[in-house]
Amino acid sequence: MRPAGLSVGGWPCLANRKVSPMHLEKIGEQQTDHMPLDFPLSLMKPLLDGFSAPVAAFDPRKAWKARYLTYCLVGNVKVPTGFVALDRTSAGGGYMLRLRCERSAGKGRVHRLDGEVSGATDELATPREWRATGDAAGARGTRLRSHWNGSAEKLSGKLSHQWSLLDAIQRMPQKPFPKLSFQYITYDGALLPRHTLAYRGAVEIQTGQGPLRLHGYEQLGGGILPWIYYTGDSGRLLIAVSGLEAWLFDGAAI
Amino acid sequence: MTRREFTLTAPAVALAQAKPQRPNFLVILCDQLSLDAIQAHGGKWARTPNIDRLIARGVTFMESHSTNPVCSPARSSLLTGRMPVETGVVSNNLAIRDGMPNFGQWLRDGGYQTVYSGKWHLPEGWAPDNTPGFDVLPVGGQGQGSQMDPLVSAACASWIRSRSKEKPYLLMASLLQPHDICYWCIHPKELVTNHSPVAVDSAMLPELPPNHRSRPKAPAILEKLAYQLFTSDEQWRYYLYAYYRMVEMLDLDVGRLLQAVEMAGELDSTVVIFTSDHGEGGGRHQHVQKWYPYDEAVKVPLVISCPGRIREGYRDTAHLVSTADLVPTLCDYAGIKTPPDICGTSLRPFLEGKPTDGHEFVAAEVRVSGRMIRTSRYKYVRFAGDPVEQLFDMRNDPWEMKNLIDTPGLGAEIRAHRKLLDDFEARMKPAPKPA
Repeated sequence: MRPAGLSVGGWPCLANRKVSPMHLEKIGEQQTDHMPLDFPLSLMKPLLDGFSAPVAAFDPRKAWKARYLTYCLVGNVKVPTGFVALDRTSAGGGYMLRLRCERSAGKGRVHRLDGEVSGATDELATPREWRATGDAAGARGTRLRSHWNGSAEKLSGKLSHQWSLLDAIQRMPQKPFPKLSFQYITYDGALLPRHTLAYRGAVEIQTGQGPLRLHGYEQLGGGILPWIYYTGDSGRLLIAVSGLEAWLFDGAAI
Repeated sequence: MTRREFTLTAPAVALAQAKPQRPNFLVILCDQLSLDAIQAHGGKWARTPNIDRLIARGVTFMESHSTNPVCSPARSSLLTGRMPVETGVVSNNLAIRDGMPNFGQWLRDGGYQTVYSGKWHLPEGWAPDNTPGFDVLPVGGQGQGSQMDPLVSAACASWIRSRSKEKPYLLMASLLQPHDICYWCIHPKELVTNHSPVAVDSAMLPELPPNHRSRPKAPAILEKLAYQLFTSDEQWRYYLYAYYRMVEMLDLDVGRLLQAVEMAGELDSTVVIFTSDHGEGGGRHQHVQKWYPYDEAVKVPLVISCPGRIREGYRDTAHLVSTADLVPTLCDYAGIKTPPDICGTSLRPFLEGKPTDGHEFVAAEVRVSGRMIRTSRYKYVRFAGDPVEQLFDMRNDPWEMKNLIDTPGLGAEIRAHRKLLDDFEARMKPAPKPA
């Protein structure tokens, strides 16, 4: 049964200018009838028409795997630019998240990024250690490799990591909560201050398989365009969008 | 010299001889970066610690100008030292005319390893494998700056760490950010909705510039360029918010490149040059993007650093410089003669604090038929076939809000600027029109 007031009759909430009650709850008095609910999804329409959400049970606190196809939201939107694969296990009282990312460099060449982050299973999946290896196309068929590693040992304050957040998002409440403030660590160890994460509200969209309810989370801060993460009711991260970059859960790979 | 003196002196002499006499060059070219977006230049809305670090250990030119505020023409000029009318690249998606060398070809012939990665746009979007004068670290396919720039910076940084050190290098890292902002103008309904599409605190949204609503009298072609798809100040401010986040993304990639030079221990043997092909409207004169001769599009950052060779922490506000000056500057430091007929001059005297005459003026082309010249005090603009000219007093009206072309008493200044431009144009050797 869908929550009352959600837009399900057509595409998308932005076009229908209907507003989720949860979103109303979040923004309270500021709400108007032309407040865009989920602006990035409108750019993703060509991708979502054929999207099917996974139906298997999912527990974000246990081991899980996920794979996302990545897209650029301008140009030939339907052609993936690459993929991101995640493999999460429990380790040492916390978690270990392994990642592989591939991105096309044109003409069949790819750039790869492999890495892992371990940390605590708290609200921000606070990282303890991370490492990454880059493997890029060089000139004349050569490969160029890079390595990064780091530790939170000497860092203070609330922290999350570019990959840890993908774990944290899936365990977050699907209702409004006080905005989280933290420092954000990139894959190669850059520390970006003054990041926040908040619940954005729920939205129901039309996919090729019918309506799908999504819970949105919004990350703001320096050095990034706002990331908007969407989970399903199970907590599984299904869609992530930042500016012109979109990730879409690849059910066929699981 | 005694044997003992010789023994004591010899290692020092050997060390001096071992130190590379010809520096490496790392050219970081970005796309659509406003000079005043940078924190060290007074920018309030983006955090740019890496560009600031480069500025702190080099010279930054506050009166630096693009030769054409559009991607392909500006890049053709930066690469050749010639004006776009001479390179043949008078608008986007054209190739540099045959027989005109770019600085990759020139420095490769002069004994340098020359490598390129990222945006090219002459005419191919990303540098193709057969880019003249360069080995290419490839990126390409689908994707914009937010996705591609980290690939460019990672590949370039890795190349710096792993390269053969037999020859000095010229590495051009051509980053695309903050050019992605163009899509915020192309897709305003989706990306810059009536209200801020994300929950940004109002205090975090940049203020509009003081000349946001100013539309000085202008040639007809410029009159049409006010952007009209944002209907509220909030939309404009969110547009700026997104732009400054892209500037910060760029700064991260600049940091990755600088760190590679630092980690290689080559800071004092590498001339790092940071610049942009053109600026960004940023709401000034109700402009977005580029394509006009106002400072928001024509002025570009230009930072040059090499501790020990170049002054550190120096902010040059006195000299008019142009991106066409890059080729002669590279040649000067590389110890090779410049290509023939270039219109720029070496910035080395400024960089090393030696007295020299600078340019009397710098010039830019705009939208094929427009020309701009900037002297120390005035900016003069005209478009072929349009009776409306522009003259701005840049000392007293830096935001270019009042066109003085009809102001009594400035006749002599106007005539002098017309003549400067006429003489400059007469010296050009325009490329033949394509068949």
